[in-house]
Order: sequence, then C-alpha cells, then structure tokens
Amino acid sequence: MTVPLLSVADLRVGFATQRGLLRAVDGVSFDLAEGQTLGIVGESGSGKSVTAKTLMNLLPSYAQVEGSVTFDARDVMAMAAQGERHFWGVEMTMVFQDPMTSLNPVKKVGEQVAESLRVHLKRSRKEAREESVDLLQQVGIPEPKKRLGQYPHELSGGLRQRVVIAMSLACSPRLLIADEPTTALDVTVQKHILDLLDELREERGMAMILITHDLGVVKGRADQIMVMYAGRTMEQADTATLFSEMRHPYTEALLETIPRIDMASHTRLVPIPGNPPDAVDLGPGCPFAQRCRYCSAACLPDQPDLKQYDHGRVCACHTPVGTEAGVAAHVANRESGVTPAGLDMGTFTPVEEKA
Amino acid sequence: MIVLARRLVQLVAVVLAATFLTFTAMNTLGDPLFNVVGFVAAVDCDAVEAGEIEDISGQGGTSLGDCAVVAEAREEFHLNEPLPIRYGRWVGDLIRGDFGTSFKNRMPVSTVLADRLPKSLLLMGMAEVFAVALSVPWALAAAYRANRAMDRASTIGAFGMLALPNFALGVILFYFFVVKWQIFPSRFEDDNLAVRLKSLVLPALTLGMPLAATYFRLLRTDLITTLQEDFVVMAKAKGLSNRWIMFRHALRPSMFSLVTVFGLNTAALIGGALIVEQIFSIPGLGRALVEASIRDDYPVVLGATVVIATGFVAINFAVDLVYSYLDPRVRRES
Repeated sequence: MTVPLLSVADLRVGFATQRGLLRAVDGVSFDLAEGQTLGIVGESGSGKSVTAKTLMNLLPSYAQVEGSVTFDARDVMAMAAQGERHFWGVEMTMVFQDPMTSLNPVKKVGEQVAESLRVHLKRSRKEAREESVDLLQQVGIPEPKKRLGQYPHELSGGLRQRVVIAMSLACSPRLLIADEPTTALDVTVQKHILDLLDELREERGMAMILITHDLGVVKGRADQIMVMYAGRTMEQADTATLFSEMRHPYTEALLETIPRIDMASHTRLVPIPGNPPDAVDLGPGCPFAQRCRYCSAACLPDQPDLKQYDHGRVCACHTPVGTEAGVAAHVANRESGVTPAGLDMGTFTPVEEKA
Repeated sequence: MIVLARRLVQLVAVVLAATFLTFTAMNTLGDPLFNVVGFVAAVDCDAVEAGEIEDISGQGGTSLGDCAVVAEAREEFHLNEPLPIRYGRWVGDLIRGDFGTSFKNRMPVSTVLADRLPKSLLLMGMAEVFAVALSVPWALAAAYRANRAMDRASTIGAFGMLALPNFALGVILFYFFVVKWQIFPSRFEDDNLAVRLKSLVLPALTLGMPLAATYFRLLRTDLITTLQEDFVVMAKAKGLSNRWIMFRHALRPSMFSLVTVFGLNTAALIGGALIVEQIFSIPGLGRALVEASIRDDYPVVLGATVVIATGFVAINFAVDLVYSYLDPRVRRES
C-alpha cells in the first residue's frame, strides 16, 4: 500500500469546561490516500466538525489536542505550533456549511477569491483577477467577470457556495475538507454542489473529506466512510462494504433515518430514540448503549474497542449486527421488551415488522 | 439627486426649527435692548410717557430723553414689530446672506462667525484626528486579544478617561504643559498655521481623549462580535494572517457604531467646546455663543445656531454616505 496523503493517529481533542473536560474527539484514527474521498458521518455533537477544525488549525487556543496528524510526511501539529503560513489555504482547504455567512458581506466576490492567490502565490492584482475568472468558470458560475464585481448578497445560496468552493480551490489544494457543504442549501441545489465537488476532485486528483449527518450524501461519493459518535469512531469501512452489510447498530440506525426510493410510500422512518450523550460525563460503557436495540449486559460497564472485521472494516461493538452476539442480544431484548439500558423495545416497532 | 434634494429640504427644516425656537426664547426671556442702549431699556418708556410712573432713569445721569434713544434703537432693530414678523424679516435677510448685526459692537454677525468658526473647526478636526488615531489601533489590539491582560487594562483605562471631566483634564494638561514645562503657549496664537496647530494641541487632546475612550469601547465590542462571524473562520481557513484578517476583513464591518457616534460628536463639537475654549483662551464659536447668550445678543446666537444646525445636518449626511461605503447592502436602498 502506498503512503497515505493524510494520516491521523489517535486524535484526541478536549475542551476544559466548568463542568469538567469535554471530550469532543476521543481517539480517532484514519488514513486518506491521494485522490480518495473519506466520508465522516454522525449526528450533531459527534465530533466530526471538531475533527475537521483540528486538521485546519481552527480550534481556539484553549483546546487540548493530542495525537498525531501527518500530511505528506509533514507533521501538521508541528506546523501549527510554528505558525506555518502557507499550508492551510494552500495544500489543505475547507468549505463550510453556510455559504450565507462564510463570505464577507462587505467585500466583493472578486477580492475574496483573489486574496488567497495574492497572499499565498504572490500573484499580481491582474494575474489574480484572471485566475479568479478562471476559477469561477471551473465551479460553473455563469458570467464570471460580472460576478467578480458583485457582493455576496447579490448572489443566490447555490452561487455563493460555488464561490466558496472556488475560493478553496484557488491554490490547488491536495486535500479539500467539506463540512456539511450542502446542509444550508435547497434540496435541488444540493446535488449540483455535491456533483461539482466530485468532478473537481476527480479532475484535480485531490483528496476530499466529506462531512455530513446524512449517510445518503456519502453513499455514491466516498471511497471510505467513518461513522462517528460521541467523539469516537464507531465503524469504518470502504463504502461498498459498509452499505452491503453494516456491523454497528448505530450505522444501521442512521441509515433507517433516511427515506429510500425503494421503500413503500408511507413507510415510517425510524428516528433514533433519545439524544446523543453528554460529552463531559460519558461514564463507562458504550456511549450508544442507552439508545441501542442490540444492547447487552456487557455494553453498560465496558466500552468496546475497535476490532477488525472482514474487508478491512473496523467496528467498536460488543454485539455487532449480523453476528451471533448481535442476533442473540436482539432476540433477548425483544423477548423481554426492554434493553438492559432500560430502553423500551416498542420504540422500534416498524423495524420489527420489516424483520 | 433625489437623496441630495431630500437632504436640502431636511437642512432647511432643521435650520428653521432651530432658529425659530432660539429666536422666540431669546426675545421672551431677555430684553435685547438692554445691551444696545444700556440699562435704561429696563425702564418702561411707554408708562413714563403716559405719566403713569416716575422716570427713574434720570437718577443715573440720564433723563427722559433716554426714552427717545430707546425708541430710536427699537426702530433701528425693528424691535417694535410683532415677533413673527421680525422672525420673517430675519429669515428674509438670511436668505440674502445677511446674518444681521451684533448688538454688542454693531459688527456684522457674518464677520464674527468668519472669525470664530475656522478656529472651532480646526479644534474639532484635531480632536477627532487624535481620537481616531488613538482609538482604532487600540481597539484592534484589544479585540485581537480580548479578555487578556492588555484588554482588561484598556477597559479600565478607557473608563478612567471617560470619567475624568474635560475641565479637570484641561486644567491638569494646562498646569503641566503650559505652566510647569512651558511647552505649549498659554493662549491661542494666530500668526500662521503651524503656530495655530501648536496652540491647539492641548485643547484638542482634552477634547479627544474622552472621545477616544468612547470610540475604543464601541469599536472593540463590535470587533469582538465580528471576529465570531463565520467569514472570519473562513478567512482563517484560507490561511490569511491575523493582521490581514483584522484590517481587511473585520475592521470595516465593525465600524457602524463608531461612525454613528463619530458623526454626532463631531457635530456637537462645532459649538460645544466652550469649556475647553475658555481654559485655553481660544476665541472659538462656543465662547462666542456663551458670551452672546449672556448678553442677549441674539443676532450672534442665531447666526451660530444656523452654523451649528447646518453642521449637524451636513455631518449626518456624510455619515450616511460612509454607511453605504462600509456596507454595500445599504447602497441598494438609497
């Protein structure tokens, strides 16, 4: 196997709060090869955005970061400590969730696209302008010359996100991190933006991290998928493996929250019962146990480690779906009507019918 | 063009309202004749002529003949006509560019204003330059490291500067820089621009420091708010330096409160610097206004009112123009 472009090992990020240490990211590891896409999926508060911000060196100074991040044999943490000025925004860039607020309202689009070129690549005003026109064209913005002289409020949400993408592509990055890039957009525009990102990635051979709460978004686009919960990796596999057979009950639960085209109409979507746990006070055991229908007695006191499965899949679960332990736990819970964590199995009725 | 026309109407309305109130107040509360012909004006000449009361004016060395002087003066200044007609006459003169004549020394009011206004404007300009030059870098530095030691010390310092009244600050500066070290002249000197600027340094500082503290507080707060915005995070993600982000991304959208208060303060300073003008012996508009008010010299008071009202409207117009420069979203509406 070739050396990965980005390698994250045992990343831990904590924030000191008045109630104690908030573990936003707790031991996340992954590798990403040149030109590949990693999808990071999880609910809000699962630590996916904090992971992205850590990579981008955007965390506030009081964040406590441990672990190692290597980008093309360079130590990213060390570069952050030394105040490296031409790495972020050049080799590694980021597209944010809300294009309405991520552009400066008082600066012309042209200035905002051109400024990375001017700062990092030392282009002249004229060169930067020409390249900006080019970039806007590449992200599919009609009349790019005219757009350069406009302000963000004169553009639609979809166009603004294209501008943000153009900005992040300006210095030809090797890794683009897209943090929920379509969540704030109209459904009709979402697909266009995702397709655009995919095309650009392919054309430029850059790697991409696509962060989303929607497994459907990463399904056809990511090479690898990492499912995060409470700051931890729950399951990670290449996309085909993950979708053919999911091992982690959380992944399965996430998938059941999305409507599918092959479902009969009026099929009820199954929400995941309860809320994500409090990251300050996780306690022992699996963080998902309280909301899990496969929960067994072992899940409560004992936190499962990540274990290797078939096809390079890793999963942190005592009772993985589709295994003997998982089936046994599920049957036992269904018979008693309540899980060891006290969750009423009646919550899952629609699934029972399907099964 | 429409904007400009609207502004002109606004200007006329403000000037008329302000001068009408001033005119009425000056004529109701005091007797302008008192200062034209001396204290005889206080005698009710109508009653003397009718023989109803004794003429006491003679006791001061003058006689009943003084009532003739009063009548003459009344005639000259049209004081025997009803108030609205006199006001109308004054407005008519104003439109022709005639501000009237001072009661004190019969000088044209326009001459008084032309003498006083430039000094006040220079003082105002210097005070604002000091205030902005001090507050903007100060606020940028404090907001960049919000809630750190420097920011906390700055907040205390700013409150100190606000709490110190300008007569106290003026006297303190005067004592050290004029009396003790004799660096600056004790009164306003008018020989050439350099001398004028030098003699205005201390008064401008006296006016400028509390302003700087106000501007600092406003700009710091707005900067801290702006620095939380998503586009600042985006700018960081683009790898832009902190300096670039502070100056080119955060400063401009943070200047609204500053510009608003700057406009109001500047307009207020045109005729409102009287205490400082008094301490540093500057013959500015503020002092002229106070002296004229005490003497019921209403042509001068009215002339100053016109200047100050015009200044207010003009500066607020300028502030609106600055708004539309600062934020393109304002531009579309106007």
